[in-house]
Amino acid sequence: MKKDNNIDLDSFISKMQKQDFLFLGLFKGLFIMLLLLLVLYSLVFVFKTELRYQLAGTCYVISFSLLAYYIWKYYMIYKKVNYSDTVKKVLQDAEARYRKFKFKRDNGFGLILAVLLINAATLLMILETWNIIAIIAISFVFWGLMTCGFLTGLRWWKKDSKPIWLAAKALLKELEE
Amino acid sequence: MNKKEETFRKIVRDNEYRITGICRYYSLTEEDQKDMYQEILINIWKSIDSFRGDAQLSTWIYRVAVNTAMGFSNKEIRRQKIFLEQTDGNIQNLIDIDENCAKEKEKLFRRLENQINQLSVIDKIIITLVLESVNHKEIASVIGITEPNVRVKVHRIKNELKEALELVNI
Repeated sequence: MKKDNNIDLDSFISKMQKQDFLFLGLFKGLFIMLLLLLVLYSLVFVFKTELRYQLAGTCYVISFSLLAYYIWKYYMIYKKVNYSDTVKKVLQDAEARYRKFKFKRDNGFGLILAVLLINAATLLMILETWNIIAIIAISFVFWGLMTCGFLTGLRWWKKDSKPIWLAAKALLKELEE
Repeated sequence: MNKKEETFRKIVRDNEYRITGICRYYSLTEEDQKDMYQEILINIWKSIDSFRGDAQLSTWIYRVAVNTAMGFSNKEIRRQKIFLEQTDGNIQNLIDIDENCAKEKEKLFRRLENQINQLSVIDKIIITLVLESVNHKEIASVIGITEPNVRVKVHRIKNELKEALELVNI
């Protein structure tokens, strides 16, 4: 007789619902924050006359727009979660929501472009003259922070989302047997 | 009262026995059953706009109830367990029980409950629906698999339960 001992399936959907609620709030908050930043940066840089500030502002506005698009996309995925679908569909959707980010499948190019633009905009804002050592130092700190953010996200995924993803995969496999 | 509220009230009123039926299997105490009942109602309210009539209303209710029940947990219920009541006449949907032998019936009942709780999550869901006398076609619509697949699964689960009960008797 089959047992559930190999994977923690206990209160699977309960955990999933809590996570969905958390992510929905998180993405909504981030989206609103990005919209506010977009408006703020657009307003500030419209009144700046210097070219480098205008360029930096444009870079910020483009990158925030790109990030807002991604956040909106994920917000809608969590908003559309429907527990009146078939058990199989609920599991398939959960598997898709909680799987690891993949560069090609999840259009990672846009995200890299957004981060690069923020890096460029920050350099334009801070540096009055082009100094290669300062550029490397600022970029080093910037990408260091980005790497920390990425690793924190990965750790969070492994702790909270990966068990749900694995449970959804296991249940789907069981359904197909 | 707006239209959504009116529809919600009608759905809950007409399907109360279905919802309480599912709650009974997943919760032991009356308090837990009430909590689960409320959780199912919340999910029905949230999903009510998505009901387009492409499935039967009863199927739709079972989907919400089962999806909610799968994840129902509180401090007392650490594992997903199925609870059977001895007064449950639907047990005959699973195995043949000799109604004349009360003592044996009680023992068999507890063993059956124990064996059902050894089943996998999906099999438990199927069993609760079989106990609720839901037909194979509707179970297929709730789970999202084909009717022949449901038939095979139900047949396999029944055989497994019978075998396990016979082994225990030896």
